[in-house]
Amino acid sequence: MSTDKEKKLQVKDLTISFRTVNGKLQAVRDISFDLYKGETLAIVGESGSGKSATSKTILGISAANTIIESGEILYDGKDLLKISEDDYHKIRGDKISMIFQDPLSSLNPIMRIGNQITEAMILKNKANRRESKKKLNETLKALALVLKQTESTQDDNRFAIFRKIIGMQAKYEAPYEQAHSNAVAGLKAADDMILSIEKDALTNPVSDARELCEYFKASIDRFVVREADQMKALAKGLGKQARAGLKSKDFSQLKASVQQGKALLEKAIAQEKPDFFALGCWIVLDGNTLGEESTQELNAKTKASLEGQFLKNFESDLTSALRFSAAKSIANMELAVRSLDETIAKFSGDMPERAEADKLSKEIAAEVEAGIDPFESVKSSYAYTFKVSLQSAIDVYYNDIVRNVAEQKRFDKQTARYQALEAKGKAPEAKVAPLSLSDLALVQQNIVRILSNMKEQYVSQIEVAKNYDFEKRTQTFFQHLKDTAMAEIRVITKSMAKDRAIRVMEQVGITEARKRYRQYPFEFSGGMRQRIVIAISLTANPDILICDEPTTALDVTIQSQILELINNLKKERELSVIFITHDLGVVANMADRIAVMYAGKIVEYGTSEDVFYRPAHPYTWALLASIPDLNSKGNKLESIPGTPPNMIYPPKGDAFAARNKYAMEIDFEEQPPMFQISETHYAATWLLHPNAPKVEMPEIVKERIERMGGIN
Amino acid sequence: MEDNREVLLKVENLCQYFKLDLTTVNKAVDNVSFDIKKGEVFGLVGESGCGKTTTGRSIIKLYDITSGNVYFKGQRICAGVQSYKDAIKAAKAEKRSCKDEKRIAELDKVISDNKAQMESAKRDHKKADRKLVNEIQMIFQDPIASLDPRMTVRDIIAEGLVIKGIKDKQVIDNKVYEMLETVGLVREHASRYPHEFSGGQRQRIGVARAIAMQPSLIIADEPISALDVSIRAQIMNLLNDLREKMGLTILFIAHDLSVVKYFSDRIGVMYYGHMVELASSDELFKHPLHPYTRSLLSAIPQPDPNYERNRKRIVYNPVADHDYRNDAPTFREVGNGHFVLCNDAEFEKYSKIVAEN
Repeated sequence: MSTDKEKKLQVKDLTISFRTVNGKLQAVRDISFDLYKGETLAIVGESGSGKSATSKTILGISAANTIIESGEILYDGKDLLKISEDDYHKIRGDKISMIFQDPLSSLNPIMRIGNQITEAMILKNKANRRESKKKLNETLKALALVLKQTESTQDDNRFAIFRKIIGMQAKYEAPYEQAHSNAVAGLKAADDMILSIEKDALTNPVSDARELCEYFKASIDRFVVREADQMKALAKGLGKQARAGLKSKDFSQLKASVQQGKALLEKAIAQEKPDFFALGCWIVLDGNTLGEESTQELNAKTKASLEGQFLKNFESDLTSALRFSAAKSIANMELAVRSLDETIAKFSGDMPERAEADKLSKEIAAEVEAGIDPFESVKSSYAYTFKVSLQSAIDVYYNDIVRNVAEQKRFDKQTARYQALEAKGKAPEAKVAPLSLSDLALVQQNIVRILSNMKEQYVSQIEVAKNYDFEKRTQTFFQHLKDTAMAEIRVITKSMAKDRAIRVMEQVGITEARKRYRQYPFEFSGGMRQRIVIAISLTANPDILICDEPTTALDVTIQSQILELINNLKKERELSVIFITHDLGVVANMADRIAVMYAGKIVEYGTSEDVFYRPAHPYTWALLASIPDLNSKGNKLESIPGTPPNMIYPPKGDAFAARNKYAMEIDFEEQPPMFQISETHYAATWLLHPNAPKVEMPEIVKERIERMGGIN
Repeated sequence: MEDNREVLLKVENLCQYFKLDLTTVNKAVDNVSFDIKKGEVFGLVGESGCGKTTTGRSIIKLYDITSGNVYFKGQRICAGVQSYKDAIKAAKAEKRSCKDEKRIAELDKVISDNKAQMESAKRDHKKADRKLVNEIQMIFQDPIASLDPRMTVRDIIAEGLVIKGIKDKQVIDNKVYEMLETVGLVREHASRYPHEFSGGQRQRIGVARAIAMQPSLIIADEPISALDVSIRAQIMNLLNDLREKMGLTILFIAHDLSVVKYFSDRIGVMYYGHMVELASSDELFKHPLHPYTRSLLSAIPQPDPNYERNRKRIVYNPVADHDYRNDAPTFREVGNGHFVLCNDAEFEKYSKIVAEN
């Protein structure tokens, strides 16, 4: 995958264990992967392979007996494994959302479905506005500070004007969007109704008419359906006509009204979308007032305002601020790299005293922090988590020293007592617990690793920063400012939330959404409940969506509908998706990249073409061979013999060796490393070792791949 | 194909209605007819709530059917009376307003005929041969929910035999061991409880319980939906082996179409209680005729990224796709053992397509 894509989430060396009665169960063993913006990563594997443990840890909802042994999960400049529960609360559901496998456990049985969908929307909107306000204020303050240093002329008013423009934009945009979406939905409903009348297949004309009436009324807006009186009159008559038609079996009158309404809606939708930002500028900067112009005229008029002096100055200010702060950040980064070198040297040999180490860590963290560019819209850098990681690693080191001393003392004391008892000729009741010292060298290595990782990151970042395209950066930064300002102002009212909820419910395939909106979860079937859960997750508008077997309980048509919906959202909002499933057909549909997991390890990792057309690991072969496709008939499927290993006692070598018919001796001795097959494709199997015998994949898989024409 | 095989199960105009309240009736299964030949696997597909499970349960007499007949090995085992009742009611209503003597005599005959048929249906339905019905066994979807947690595996498998009247412990034990070995478990498992087994092993117990009765027909209601990928293949291979070894006939109910295709000889597609298409599995997948079938087939995900990227889902809208204003559809054969629910105009269109191929 191209590396220029923005990394949304990075998982590094994650190891998770569960405390159980029988001992420590190693659920996830040292896995690392990246999730890029706008892509889908599928995690495939049998149950018990650690897929769900990984995703639950990302969401911070792992069970109480979980031990996170090591690793980092980096998201938006934070290490999710080290932040407080309060901070997690802001991320969970809003930024990282999850669709669970079991719909029953994620719905409240005594709340109406509608409330459950809209509740989060309204609450999140409030929190979001507060957050955005804070963020915007901070950014603007930093901007003002930088601008003070770069230019002589000052205009403190400009940010206030900018906010005013955005306010004006929001004032007109919000009702427009609501009305527009209603118009689109209304058009579809009207089409269906006309068709049903023509084909004489109306089943429930009165409730259909009522629904249509709602759509008609809701689509009235200055920028959508402008013929308010006419539309209102039409909407009012629908119910009566439907009832009359039901009596006389003649729906021609109803049909005529629906057609009139449809014509109005079509006209409204055909209009150009107004440019509300331009409109805001036009009103605020040029002091115009909104008359009765059509949208097209308005767009033509307001366009000129975008070229105005104010915006030009604003943008050039932004550019100079970005330039200034980038230059400063580069200088600071270079300084930091030099100091990092020194610090690495200090921590590599004999460790300094604790106070000294703490001081060093604080100093270097401050220097690294100075290298952060405050106008970075995406916080992907290591630098944000550097301070916490370094300090915690240092703490671990010195605490371990103390613990080791205590442990040694205990051991010596107990041994002495034991030997004394033995010398007296008595049989001691208990044996001495063996000495368990933590390996200080390993912890020290970890500290050095954190430092050198940081250094590498900065060295490469300096290169990138030197070649910034400031025009593009200004555009993205301006957009970012606009979005944040918008998020501060946009209020989601109850009616808006309801509209959106109903729209999403329709999108996930719930018919009669308006009626269903007022029902309780027990009135839904299992598949329907699953769709509600999906609808709730989607309304939250997350950055990252984790889907834990979301469609396993649904039938093909709905499954395909929901996968399409997730794919569309992914495209629209550049959503990143982690998709956990064992249905390889679904994986082929959704995934950009695939990680195959077995016994807590990623055994194969690559783009979906790599994994489906050039599978390299025997476990992937076995998975592919065990499912029938539409062309396999009669030939026996290859099932995987045995069961996954008990991870309380993880096997010494390759975990899959015992079930693998291609296993070699070394597989039982040593774990295979990740072999790189191509730029994007990795697999952990000894078969890829240059000395390994050439082994062909199973006939059934090979034949299928040839049939698919995938080898190219 | 092998049309000369004996028909094992014949379902005729099966209707299963559920009364929701005084006025509304849920027509879960409406006028479904098909037959299953000996040694064949008949797949039943459709989305959830389309009545495929209800059909299976009606056949095994878990519900009393509303109307229609089910014949097993030539004997009627289920019969519903609603259609006769309706006929009598209609005839009586006509009789009241009718003046023509000849017509009245005709109607009287209709009424008495229907009454006689109703009596015989009731008798057949109640007194159906238990031994015969025992030859139909069912495998359930959820292996955890369908096994009694407080019974040992031996008791679970032997329960049917005990009810059948076998008292000799030795015979039962031998039978249980034999069944366990047939499904790939070992004798030692007999004394264990269901919770001690993995998902695939539990489903094997479910299969063993069903085949212990020496059935000639097995109704498998989504037997692999609740299982893990690697175990699915095991159970499918097991069912395939059993089919060859014991000559089983299977009614296979599932919503995973690639599995149904892999497993079945003929497939029936259901939509909202109606059977909309029935054909041999190759024929159905090669030339789907009914728009709903086409929509269903277009939704199957395949383990092939290139294919998936270009797959277009066809949306089925019953109002837009059919024109049933003047001409109601019926279920008829368009050739080649390919049945479709269609009216006259569609029949011609479909026949042409079939003839071309």
